[in-house]
Amino acid sequence: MSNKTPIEEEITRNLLSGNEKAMALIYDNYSAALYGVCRKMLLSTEDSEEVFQEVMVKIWKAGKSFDPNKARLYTWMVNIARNTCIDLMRKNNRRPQIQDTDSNVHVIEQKNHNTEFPVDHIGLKEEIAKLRKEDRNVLELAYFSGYSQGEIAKKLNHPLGTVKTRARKAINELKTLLARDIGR
Amino acid sequence: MDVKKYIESGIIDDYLMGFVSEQERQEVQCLSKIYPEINEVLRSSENIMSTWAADFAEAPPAHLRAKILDNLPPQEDLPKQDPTEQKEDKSILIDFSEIDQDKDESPKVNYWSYAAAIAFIFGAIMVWQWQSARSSSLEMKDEMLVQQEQMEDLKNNYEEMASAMQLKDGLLAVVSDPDVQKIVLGPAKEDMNANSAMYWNKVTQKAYFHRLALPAEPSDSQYQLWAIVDGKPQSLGMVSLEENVAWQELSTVEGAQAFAITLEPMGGSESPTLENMMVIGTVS
Repeated sequence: MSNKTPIEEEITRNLLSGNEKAMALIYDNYSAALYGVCRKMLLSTEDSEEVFQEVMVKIWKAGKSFDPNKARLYTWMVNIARNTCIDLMRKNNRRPQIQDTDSNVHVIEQKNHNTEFPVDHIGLKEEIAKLRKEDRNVLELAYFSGYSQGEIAKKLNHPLGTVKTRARKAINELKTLLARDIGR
Repeated sequence: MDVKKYIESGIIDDYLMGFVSEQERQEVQCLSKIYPEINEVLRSSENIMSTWAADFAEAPPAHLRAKILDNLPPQEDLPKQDPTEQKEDKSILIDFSEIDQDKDESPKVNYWSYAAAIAFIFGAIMVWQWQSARSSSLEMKDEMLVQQEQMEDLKNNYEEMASAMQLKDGLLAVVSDPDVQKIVLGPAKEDMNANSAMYWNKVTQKAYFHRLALPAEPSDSQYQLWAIVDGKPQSLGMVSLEENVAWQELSTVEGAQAFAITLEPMGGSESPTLENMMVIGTVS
């Protein structure tokens, strides 16, 4: 994948060679992003802490299978976090409540303490704020809350087709807005 | 398979959102392994989504750092499964805790699970490829039939045009010869609507007939061509009944004074039936 940061390369090298230093680097650089995904998906601090630890262990255990030619390290880790959260939701047969996107804006400031991160934080917030709230809501419910298209339609009182249209619109806007951040 | 069309359908984004059926989910996963273009779009979209996820970053409680880093289990040499691959339809909630326990305790279960999964994936790929090949083969067959018909039409058009060109070339060669005289054959009776032309080469004594506008013959009759030589009719032959023959070369005739066409019984007559004379023209 293109546009790898030096830290991603260092982590990948250590991860593939089984050096635990990889995990310290992951923690110091990506824990906020990964924990943020858990919080967003599970909401409760207790569940999020538990799942976040599980995610870190999974990253470590599966580390040797990571192929930097097939995926970007950060995306690979976020996918592990998402899948682990979805597993817990299934296990508990529950899902988090709908959360208004604006209520999460305050946490954005917290991530800036990270030493290195694969995206441009300052621009990110402004760019994402350009998305329409209705479109963003659909995207969040699908991506973070694991709701099906039908469930989102019911919750937001939208026709089924509108849900898909809004999600696609939001993704396309994100693609345009974030393209420069991921070098594509 | 039309990869571009597949990508443009938006199914990859739907896959990321979980807005796909179980079959579509497996299809995207299989196809992304087969087609690098699909894989590229999928990875690119995943990168966008994970970048977006960074918008919700939140620092974990400080005590977790040591707790995690000091208790890392042994790293696996080979992964049990790709932990990032999207699992089954998330709208179906199933308790996987039992299965997870079995997985850790019994490697045999894992083996069979993997064997089944691999068999399933291969099966899905084969079914998909078969369907795809069948569908493309049917489409191609239809397309070939249409093209064959078009080719046939073009061939027929070409043959018609070539034949018409040949006719016109022959006519042009005759009429442009300075020794050839055109004799217009006008209606023999005032109320007749018939016209023809004879081209007569006075040097070679050859006659050419151009049908122009003669009414269609009754089914049992045929037009016969005559030259009037020394006041007596001499048969030059029959007008061809073949369709599209508008121009024909006739027998040579010496000292023709006039040319005429009569309608005669099929095959012609020895002498013209004068009351059935259609057109006549004199040599100037």
